[in-house]
Amino acid sequence: MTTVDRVQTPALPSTRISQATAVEQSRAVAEVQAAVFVAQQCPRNVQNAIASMRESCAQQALAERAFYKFPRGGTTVSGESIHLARELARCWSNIQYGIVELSRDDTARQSEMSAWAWDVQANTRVSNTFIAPHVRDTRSGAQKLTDLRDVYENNANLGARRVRECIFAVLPPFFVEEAKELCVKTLADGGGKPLAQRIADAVKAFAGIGVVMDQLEQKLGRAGDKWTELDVAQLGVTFKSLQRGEVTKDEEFPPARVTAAEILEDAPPGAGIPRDEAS
Amino acid sequence: MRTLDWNTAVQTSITEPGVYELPADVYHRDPVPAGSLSASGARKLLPPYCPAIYRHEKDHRPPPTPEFSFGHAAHRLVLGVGPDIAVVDADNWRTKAAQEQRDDAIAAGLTPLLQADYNIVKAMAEALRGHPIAGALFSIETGRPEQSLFWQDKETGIWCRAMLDWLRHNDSSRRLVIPDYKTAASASPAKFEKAMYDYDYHRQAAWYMDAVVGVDRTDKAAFVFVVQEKTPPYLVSVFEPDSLAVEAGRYYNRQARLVFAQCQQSGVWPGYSREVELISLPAYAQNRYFQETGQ
Repeated sequence: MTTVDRVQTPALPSTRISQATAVEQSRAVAEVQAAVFVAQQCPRNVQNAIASMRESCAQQALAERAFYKFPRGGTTVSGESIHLARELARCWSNIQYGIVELSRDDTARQSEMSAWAWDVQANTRVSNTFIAPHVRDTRSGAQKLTDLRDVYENNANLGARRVRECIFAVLPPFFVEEAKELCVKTLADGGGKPLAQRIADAVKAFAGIGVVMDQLEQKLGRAGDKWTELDVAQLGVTFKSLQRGEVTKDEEFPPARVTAAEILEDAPPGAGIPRDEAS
Repeated sequence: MRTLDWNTAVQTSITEPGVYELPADVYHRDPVPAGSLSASGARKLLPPYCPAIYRHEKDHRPPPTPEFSFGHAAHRLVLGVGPDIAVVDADNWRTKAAQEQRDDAIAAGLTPLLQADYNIVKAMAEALRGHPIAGALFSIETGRPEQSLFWQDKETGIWCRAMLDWLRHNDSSRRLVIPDYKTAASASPAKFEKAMYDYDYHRQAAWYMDAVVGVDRTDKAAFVFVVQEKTPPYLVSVFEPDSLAVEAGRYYNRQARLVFAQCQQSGVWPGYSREVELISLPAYAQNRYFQETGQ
């Protein structure tokens, strides 16, 4: 299945083929043949794959990175991250995936990219060819990217999201679903640390980035002493998303509402407004 | 803060971002030589208005309407600033004598108001003072009335201006709450929500919050409407626009700034459209037609 996000006339390709490119072309043909051959000679052991996935998902390090969240159109979109996708691909075995920058057009400020995942054994391949514009959406509108590193990071970012979807598309749904459940469980379990300590750690970590207890309580809708394992797990996902810059502090913790108490606080008692001096 | 006296301010042009105390008249005539955009101007640049309307109104300021005078007088008594009020002892504007007095007042820079309206405005100001939150918001101990803010937009480079009803004193430990006084037919939350949308008050809220940040007054601001009914018992409500309203307001403000920058650069202030536009029946009329014809 190949989906094309946007069709655009590509820049005229260079006709010159270097020696290295020629070698790479023939090597790629051989690699594809070898990969299919090897995969069929050494098929995956599904039981082992499941066991390996269960072991990975029980690890706090993976579970913490397994989910992401970011805002779009007033709501928050959340889902499984590229980190989980890569790990599941590793466990399932005989899967190849990648991102390729097919061409870059600095005049039109865009790259033509391809993200793909391939179950070599079943010979199921999902790819997604798309145009990555060299712009970044900001609150004050689209910002052109000129720095090479910015372009690279933007391409890698857009590519990672596509490759994640490709990997999830070739993996069997039962495998992914079980992994998600296990990761949530691992997050809720908090690596065996007592809940009170995890709450204290979470509050401390958020205090470090300027989010106070009041804001955390407001977000979760209950006082700190009533937080559950899942609440702390949710805070963990939020914290990681904040660290990765997927969401901003204001989006996750909107400024507190203006209250009468706040206004009255700095008004001197009996404060009035200027007397009427109209003619 | 720079305080300019009326006479010098007429000639003074503003070329530095900051907070100024200007007569309303000077502010409205736009003291920035390069031209600046206000919140109400930004509203006129976008549909259902268009840049041509904005340009015309900027060049030919419309004479004040009775509603406008009423609102101004209410601001005058509540905030203690603005043009002085000239009370016209008449029942309505229909007599020649009343009209002459009105025109004389306008010519003298005063706000003409009928005796009955003046009584209402006075009672409204009294009611507002009695309101615990509103009274505290417009307390002379905590801020200054009618402050004009001028700043340059970082993205487009255009000059923006805003005249805040009330600018509270700076207190770095707290966020800056910007109150804006509105007289309205109803101060009920549901009715004012509709009014906020109809008159784009949410854009004004976002504009003012960006204004205080633009002049480096603060980096965290909040905005509240102080809404008062024009009929007894002159009820007062204080509303804070939610984050989506502010976000939407900010979005349209940015569109307006982009249009302004483009028009200013090209010198062309277009009307609604230069093309032949295709128009349809409103959705409800289409639905009715489909229902009646069984389509």
